Amino acid sequence: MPLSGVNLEQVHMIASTKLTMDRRRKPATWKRSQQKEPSNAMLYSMMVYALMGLFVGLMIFLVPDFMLAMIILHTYLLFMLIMILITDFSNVLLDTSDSQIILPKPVTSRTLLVARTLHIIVYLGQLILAIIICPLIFSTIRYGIPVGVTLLLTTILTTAIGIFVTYILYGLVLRYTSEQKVKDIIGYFQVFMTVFLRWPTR
Amino acid sequence: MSVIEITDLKKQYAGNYVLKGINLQVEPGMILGYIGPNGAGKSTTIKIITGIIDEFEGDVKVLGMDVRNESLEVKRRIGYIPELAALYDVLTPVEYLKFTGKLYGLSDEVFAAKGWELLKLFDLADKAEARMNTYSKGMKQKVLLISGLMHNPEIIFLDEPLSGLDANAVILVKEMLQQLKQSGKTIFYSSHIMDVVEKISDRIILIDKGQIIADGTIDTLRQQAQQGSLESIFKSLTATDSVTTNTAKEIIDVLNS
Repeated sequence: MPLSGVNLEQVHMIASTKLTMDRRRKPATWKRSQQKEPSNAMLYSMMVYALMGLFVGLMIFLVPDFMLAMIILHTYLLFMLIMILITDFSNVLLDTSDSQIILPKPVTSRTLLVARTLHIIVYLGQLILAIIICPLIFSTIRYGIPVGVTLLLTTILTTAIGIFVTYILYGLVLRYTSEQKVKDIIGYFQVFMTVFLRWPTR
Repeated sequence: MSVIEITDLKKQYAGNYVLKGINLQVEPGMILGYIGPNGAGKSTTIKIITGIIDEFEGDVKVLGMDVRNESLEVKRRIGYIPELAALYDVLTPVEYLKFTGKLYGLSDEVFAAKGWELLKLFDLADKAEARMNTYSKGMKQKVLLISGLMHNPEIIFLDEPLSGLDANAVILVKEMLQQLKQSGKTIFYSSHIMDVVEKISDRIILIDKGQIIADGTIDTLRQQAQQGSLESIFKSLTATDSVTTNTAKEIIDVLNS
């Protein structure tokens, strides 16, 4: 049985607690611009990404060539995904508080692994959905349902590449330099994202 | 029967041994003070016994079970209160306690009955719905105490449990530890502050550079050192008075220059 040694109640509790924390954690790009505690930081991020997706999606109608439109769309998706992974998700990927908090509790390593994977899937799923929703609808309108379904599939594949590239990047940087360097690099990306993302929305 | 049995425990980080062969038996129903200077290996020992670190040399048995093979059952029956307020501070205490309670397999009813009552007793009820990133260190420590005790463990591991607590809470926790001991629980109390350990411990283990250097009641330790308080025993066992005084003087000299 693939789920042996996994306590589903614990998986649910860990994953839902982590998602609650995501909703409350300020995105890294907010730190200076907002004074108030966000009531739902996650929802705000999703709305910003959806709005940007709207403009990128309009490109589908403006670019006459199908291949070119899809190349632009996937480049944009991959770019956004890696940016999100590096700026916001580095908290989750490089989190060490779990070892202090969850490891002393009677939780098997498999339960923790399943809970973490579930959390990452839900977290990324929400953001990817926000980014791709408008382009997906526009592509379906312009090129038909088969293209829409295929686009959904290639979105998932692009996500996989994005995660892979991010891990490789972290792996390389951690191998050849120090942890402090990783934080510096994340800092550069955060500055870039602040200018790129938040400036137009203010 | 001893509840904790440690045989020849060694632990290395990158070739350096931080624990160099610890042998220890702990009897049930006592408060064990585990003290030593910073970096002596106190936290490492606790992390091994509680199953957080599972790579080590030697044997560790808790309640007769090997921590390597039966770590889940061991973890279910012990409570661990970590240092440095390690908790998810964007949660409220109620949410955090529910989270840890669920991981220990406590039902919602048990939590509703115990959790709120404990929060009230620790004087946190009026802030129970506020996120813990607004909390002081002492208040976080209280939440950690509750979360480590709520499942009624048989052995309780405390790593610097009094840090940040105010005077009233310190007395409360000390009294609580005494009563827990009387109800048959074993308490493993790790600290580098002599003052409290001296007053509440039935047995004191002094550890330095990964080795046990003294073991016994405060009276036997006193006899060994021929000195008054545990602090001076501690000093005489780890460093000489004159060395510490000189270091202090040098620091002041540097500050004044």
